[in-house]
Amino acid sequence: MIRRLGACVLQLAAISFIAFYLFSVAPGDFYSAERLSPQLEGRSVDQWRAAKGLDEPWPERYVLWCESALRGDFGTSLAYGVPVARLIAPRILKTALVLMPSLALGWALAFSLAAWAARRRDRILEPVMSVAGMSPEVILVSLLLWLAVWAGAPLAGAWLPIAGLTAIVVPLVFLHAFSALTTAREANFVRIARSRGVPRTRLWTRFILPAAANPLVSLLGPSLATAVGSSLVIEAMTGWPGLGPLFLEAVQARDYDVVQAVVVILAAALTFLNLAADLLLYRIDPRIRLRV
Amino acid sequence: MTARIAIAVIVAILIAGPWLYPVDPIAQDRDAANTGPGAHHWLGTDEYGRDLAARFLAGGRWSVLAGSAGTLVALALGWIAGSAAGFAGGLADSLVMAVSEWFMAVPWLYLLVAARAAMPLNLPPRKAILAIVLLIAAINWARPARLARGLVLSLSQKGYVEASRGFGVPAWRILVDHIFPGTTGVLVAQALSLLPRFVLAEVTLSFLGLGAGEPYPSWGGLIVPLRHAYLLRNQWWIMLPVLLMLPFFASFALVSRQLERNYRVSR
Repeated sequence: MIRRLGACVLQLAAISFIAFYLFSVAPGDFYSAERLSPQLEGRSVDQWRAAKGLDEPWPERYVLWCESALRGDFGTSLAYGVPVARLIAPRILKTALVLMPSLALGWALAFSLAAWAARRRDRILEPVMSVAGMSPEVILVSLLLWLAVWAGAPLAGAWLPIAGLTAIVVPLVFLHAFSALTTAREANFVRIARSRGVPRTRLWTRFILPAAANPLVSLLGPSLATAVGSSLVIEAMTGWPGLGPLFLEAVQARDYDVVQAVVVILAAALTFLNLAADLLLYRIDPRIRLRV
Repeated sequence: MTARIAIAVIVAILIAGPWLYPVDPIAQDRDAANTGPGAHHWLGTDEYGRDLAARFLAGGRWSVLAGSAGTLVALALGWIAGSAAGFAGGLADSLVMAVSEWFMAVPWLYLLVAARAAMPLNLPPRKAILAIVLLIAAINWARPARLARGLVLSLSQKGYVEASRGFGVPAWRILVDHIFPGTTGVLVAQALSLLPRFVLAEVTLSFLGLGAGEPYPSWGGLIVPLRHAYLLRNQWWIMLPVLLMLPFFASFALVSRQLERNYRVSR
């Protein structure tokens, strides 16, 4: 368990290092686009760079950044002149506001559909879902937007990003849940239980669901990762002021402290969610406990 | 089978596009700006009077080319890293597995955009496509690598591999003669499921303005105007190129599903 935690910390360190290194070797910085800006207020570009510490060699800056990030200080945005933490916090809230409902809705919908399809041995829903799972989010969301315009629905508000994200989550979860449930249903111990006359509800709650739980719990992390990735595009398309548009803007302006903070915070969130899913698995699946 | 034919037809149309529909995708016909589909412009025109059908065809060539090149590079990288890890075992194996886990932990679209940001923003189109391909491959080598590693591990415990090892066959010959042929089927299946994802990555980057860039056509660029509700309301035909992209992704999804089932590839 300690080893697993250590691996997580190492992973975060590696990701932050890679991100930092990438931007240090990248040509140009925030001020190379600002050379002619009147807001430089009499100081030359080089003076501004020196004032913000951008002329230090990158290993030194990386160590400084790590120190302050561990204290919860992610630096100051060059474009806004505001602490990055204060810039990012409301955006994270906004993104969570669409992510959480769509994940909950997507999981519930996908799981009940999969259970229904597995019970009926449905053969149509599975290919439909694998096609839907392969369609890119830009196309799904533009279809949604088109339908919304056509039906005269209001385009503002959270419902559009939520609907788009749900449409991304449902096929992903459905395909995994369907295959897990069908395998579990056809396992020998389930057949024997059925032939012994175990009632259907008991069959599902005591036999099929526990056997199918392992792949589904391990899907928690990847499904969140997919949803977070898609939220970048979906927020940009629907104009939802979440983390995605801020990130894109920071990328275009080379506001590296913001980009760096977003990458590291997202990686941290996903790493620890994966860890939590593993711990949950350890509790509910005795096979894993035996192996450790 | 139908889906395979559909893929062949779509790719053939994209390749033969400039001969089938010889209209310049960049030329502006200001008198015919914002007109609907008709005999002259099959899918209508955009606000500069550029022909949408020609832009769809030329953009498709661009996006699919970038996607397939990325698939090739990612598969090659992943296969080399994975089979080396599976064959050598020990420290090399745990190192490759650990690094691939880091790459899989970050949402890859954010990673792609961040990596693109580290390059000059205004690249000429030819360099941009190269940059995109390399990026896609560099970020997505992890999944094929893990797949190849698992396969190589199980193959190297087969009787015929043990036997040739016993006869003193050098390691590289075992890899080339016995292990590589066992992985080709899975490689093809993996390529077909990766290709649409990589096309999508190119489409998404272009949509976000980090791809080939205006005025050069790409599928992502065709989606940009759909952000504006008033355009959707008044010019329904800007939706047509997007609807035409759907069969491409759908047929790839069906074929790769079939192949994955045949080779029982885990996702």
